[in-house]
Formats: sequence, C-alpha cells, structure tokens
Amino acid sequence: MTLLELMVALMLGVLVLQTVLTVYLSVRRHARWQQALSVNVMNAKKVSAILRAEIQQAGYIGCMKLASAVPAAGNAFWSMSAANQLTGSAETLTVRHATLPQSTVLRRLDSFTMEANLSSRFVADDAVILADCQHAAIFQVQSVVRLSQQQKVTARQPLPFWYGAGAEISRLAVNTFWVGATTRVDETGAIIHALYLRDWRGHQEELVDGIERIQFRYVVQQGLQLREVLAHQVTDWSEVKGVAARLVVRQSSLHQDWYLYVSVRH
Amino acid sequence: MLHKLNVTHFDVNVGWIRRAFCVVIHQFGGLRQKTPNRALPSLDLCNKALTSHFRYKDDPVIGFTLLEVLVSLLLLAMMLLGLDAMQLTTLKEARTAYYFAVATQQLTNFTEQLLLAPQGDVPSLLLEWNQQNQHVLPRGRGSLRGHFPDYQLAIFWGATLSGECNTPLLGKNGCLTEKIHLEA
Repeated sequence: MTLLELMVALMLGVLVLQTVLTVYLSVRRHARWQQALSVNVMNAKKVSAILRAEIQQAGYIGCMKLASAVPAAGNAFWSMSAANQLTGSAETLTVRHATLPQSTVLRRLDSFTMEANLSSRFVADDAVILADCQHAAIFQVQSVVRLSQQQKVTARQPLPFWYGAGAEISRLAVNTFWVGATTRVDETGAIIHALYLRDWRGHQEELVDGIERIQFRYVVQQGLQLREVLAHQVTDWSEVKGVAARLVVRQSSLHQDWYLYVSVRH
Repeated sequence: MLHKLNVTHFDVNVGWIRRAFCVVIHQFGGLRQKTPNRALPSLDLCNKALTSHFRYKDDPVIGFTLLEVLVSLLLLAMMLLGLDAMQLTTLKEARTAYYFAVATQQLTNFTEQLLLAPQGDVPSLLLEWNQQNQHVLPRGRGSLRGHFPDYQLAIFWGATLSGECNTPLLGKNGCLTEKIHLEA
C-alpha cells in the first residue's frame, strides 16, 4: 500500500465516522425531543380529562339538583351545598360530588338499613349520598352485608327521611387536586412534579407526572360578563360558573403551556 | 490507477456472513486473481479462500479498488441521507400532531366559554382567547363568525391566512374550524 492510498483511506474513514456520528447524535436528539413532545401532550390531555370530568360533576347528587344544602349525618365536613361543591385556591381545587356508578335502593328495612343492588359495591366507613329526587342525605356506612344479588347497607346514624325503593345511593367524593413534587428526578437531575389527588380520608394519590405547575382561576359572572378571577376574589363560591386552569407540562428541558376551561354543570 | 488495498488476517467464520460477503465482492468484481484473462473468481473460490483463513497479504493483488470503496461510501451516504430525511419527516409530523392537539384544546376551551355566556361580551372573550392562542401556537389567532345562536369558530397558526378555513389544514401552517349552535 502506498502512502497516498493510506492517506486517502484515512480521510475517507474519518469522513464516514464523522457522518455516522453526526447522524446518530441528530437522530438521538430528535427522538428525545419527539418523545418529550408526545409525553407532554399526553400528560396535558390526561390532566384535562381528569379535571374536566371532576369539575363538570361538581355538585352532582343524582337525579336531584343541588339547590339547598345536603345535610350530612354525623359529620359536617361531608355536607354539600352550592357554596362548597367547588372551592379552591390558586394552586388547589376541591370538588364534591356523588360518584358513578350508583346503586338503587331495592327495599328499606328500617331507619338505618336498606337493601340496594350491586351496581356500586360499598364497604364499611364509606361516605355515601342517598337521594330520591326530593330529598338527599349524606351518611357514613356502618356495615355492609353482601348477598348474591344485593347488598344490605346499614348507616351509622338514623336517616332523616324515609328513602324508599328507587332512591339512588352513591359514594361521596371530596377530591382535592394540586401539583406537588414527587421523590423522583429526571435525567437532568430536576425534581419531577405531578398532579395529586387527596380524598376525604386523606389518602393521597399521584395521578399524572410531568406537570410542573398549575394555576386555577375561577369564572364568575359580573353583570353580563364573565370574568376569570383569583380564588381570594371569589366572594360566593356558589356563583362560580367554571374553572380556567393553566398548566405547565415538562419533560426534560421541554416546557409547554396548556390551557383548560371547564364550566360547572350542576 | 491506484492498486488494491491489502487485507490481512481476514477471518470470517460465520457461514451466512461469509456467503453474503462473497456475493457482494463478486458483484462488484472486488476479488480478483492474477489470471491471464482477469476473470472474476467464482463464489466457490471465494468461499474456499475465506474458509481456509486465507491470508491475503500473501497475495498482493487481492483487495478493494478505490472505485469500489467510493461506490460503497456513496451508497452509505445515500442511506444516511435517507435516514435523515425520515427523521425530518417524523419531526414535522410530530410538530403537526402537537399543533393539532393544542388547536383542538383551544377550540374546546372557547366553545365552553360561549356556552357559559352565550350572549355575553363575546369580543372581549375573543381578545383574551387570542392572547392564549398567540402563547401556545406559532402566530396563533382565532376568529368567530356569525351571531347568536349560530357561530363558526376557527383557529389559525403559522402563515395560514386568517380569512377563511373551509377545510381543516394541518401542518406547520394550519387551521381548524368548528360550528357551534347554542341553545337560547
């Protein structure tokens, strides 16, 4: 082999290596960017779906419209009214509603006990809403006896009204949402934040990670106009018509803003 | 003409790799022998040579010509360029999907606002909405046509003209439209 051949071979080798390396790095960078973009959109959509469903259900108590406060036997915390169906701050949002699916009362046995179908399976200590389109009450379940086709539900306190067959019985949800730090870090060493849910028992659950920040504003009507205001500017929570949220989603170093606007239906 | 590059200790033990190597060499006329008519060696000869751990340095005329190397490089370059083009396309598609997702969300948001205040101060709602659009989409802006109870809502981004959006257009520049009928 001559020196010239060697030089040419070396030059070609270096060129090939450089090209391959450049292509590889570019492919890797683009793949990461695409993945981050997709995950950001997916996370933002997940959060939108969760919050939309919750906000639209705020104040839902079955066939009855939440016009007056629903009394809660034994625990005022559970009581539900238009004034507390949806409350919050700039960073947190709390909604109260009956959850789906709901069971139907088949037979009332006494002022404590009723038989219901198995559409929703209750357990002891559940907080439930009982509504018959005219009255509604919230109580805590003392015990549940499950039979083959039905369940016998016993309340801790006697119920104020006689809810007969056909009344709806469903779990009460008092859910608080906020964005907090997880114990994990991403590949850049930054702490991963996530959307969390806390129920009335205080149980905390991470719902969607990659949510850096969330800011809630509340929609109130002033005259004919709708205004988005901060929580401390809300004087009457029963007048809140909707929620506007601004999310910041993040994967690696890719931050994106996402807006959400949901009206309260009930 | 530049002569062949010598290869030493070329040892291929895996059967299918050896066969593939020989076929390629044969096709490009790479493995030549010092024979009077300069004919290409048969595949059998190539196989035999590789199987017996033939040391090419003992035969100085066996190797690759510069032309062959250059053709190989050209093919490799074309392959890499193809890979790059594929990457660019996927990038463009990912961006398009993102803009579509954002635009859909923004349309839903404004529809909710109209549902809440069907006869409210629509121009000021539109103004606030357009501020958001500019923030989340490149040159994002929206328009609202019609009167209560029938509206046509459109959102534009990129270099798309803001006039009309009769059919959805997706890409770097695009638009989406939605018809809304509000109950009185």
